[in-house]
Amino acid sequence: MGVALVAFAVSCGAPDDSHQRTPVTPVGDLEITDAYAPAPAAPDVGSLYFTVINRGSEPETLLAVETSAGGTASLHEMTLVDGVMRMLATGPFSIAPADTLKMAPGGYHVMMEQISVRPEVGDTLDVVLSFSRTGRIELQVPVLTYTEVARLLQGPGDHEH
Amino acid sequence: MKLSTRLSTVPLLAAIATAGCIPDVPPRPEELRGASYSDPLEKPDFTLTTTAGDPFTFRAETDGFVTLLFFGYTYCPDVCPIHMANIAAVLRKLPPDVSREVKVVMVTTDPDRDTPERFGPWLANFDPTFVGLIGSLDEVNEIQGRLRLPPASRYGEDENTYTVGHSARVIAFTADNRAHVGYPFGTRQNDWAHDLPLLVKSNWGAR
Repeated sequence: MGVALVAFAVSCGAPDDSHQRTPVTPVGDLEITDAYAPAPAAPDVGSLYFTVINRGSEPETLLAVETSAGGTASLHEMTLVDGVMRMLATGPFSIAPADTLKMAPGGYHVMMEQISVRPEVGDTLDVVLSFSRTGRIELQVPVLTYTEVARLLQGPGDHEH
Repeated sequence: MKLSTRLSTVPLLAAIATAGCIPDVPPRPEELRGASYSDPLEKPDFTLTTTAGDPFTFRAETDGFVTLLFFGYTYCPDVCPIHMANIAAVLRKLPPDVSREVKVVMVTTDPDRDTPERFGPWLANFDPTFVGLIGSLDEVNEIQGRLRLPPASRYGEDENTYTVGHSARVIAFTADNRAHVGYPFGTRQNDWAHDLPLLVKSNWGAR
């Protein structure tokens, strides 16, 4: 299985980058976009976000995530039930044909735990995604501030004037 | 007719000018981006310990300020830091006469792991003036109950990797020591930038 390297360029600190999209990079039947990681606020716990679009005709499953921060990385989903926000591990995550796994704060994220190399703002986090059909995809993910990550979530029409 | 209208407008304009454009009435619910409480919350009187080890009597220490109160924990990599980062970013951009009237207090829902040594630097990542408070989980849940928030509860057996379910709402107290509005997760920086000046300049609890 070949290894594809995908690099993301996100201009950090631009005053109005709130609706910028990272380049769409196809690997096999998959497109990976909008990858970013906030610099962890805690020494050992952080999160990572990206979006996977399945352009193929078969389901794909995201089996595992590894990062250069060390420790473990697992896909989680935030759910709000009866006013309680909970974080649940999803396990391997299947993406149907033409479907998208979109990660964003308050929804899906990859949680990094027991981090041994704490990513700093401006660093690049090396990430390897393992898929059931496409195999391994390597990403280089920009490390942003939490403030920038929150900004990236703002939709059109939310720009400041 | 027209003259009398003009004349009656003049004292009103003068009153607004002398009051520094403070509106005469509190903001209406539809003017705020946050979720208004039909029955406002009374600011609870409790004392917990800051990350510096000092007692913090919430009601007295925050009296007269717009006070944003949040319950969360440092092993939360998503909702909690995003909330804190959004509020901190907006406070940095607002005029000083607004931002100095706002206090931010976060109470940990994970006192077993959120030691002062861990929680203090975590919160200071966002803004060194934010106040981090630690108490027993029973104390914290009792306070949350008074604020009509569900209790925080622990999920998972592993001592290192358990998670804590908790309310994702930031409660905004105004100078009248009541909360008329709360902010769910998903509140954006522009929403905070819109509402915080209104909350500061509202005459809820005008002194």
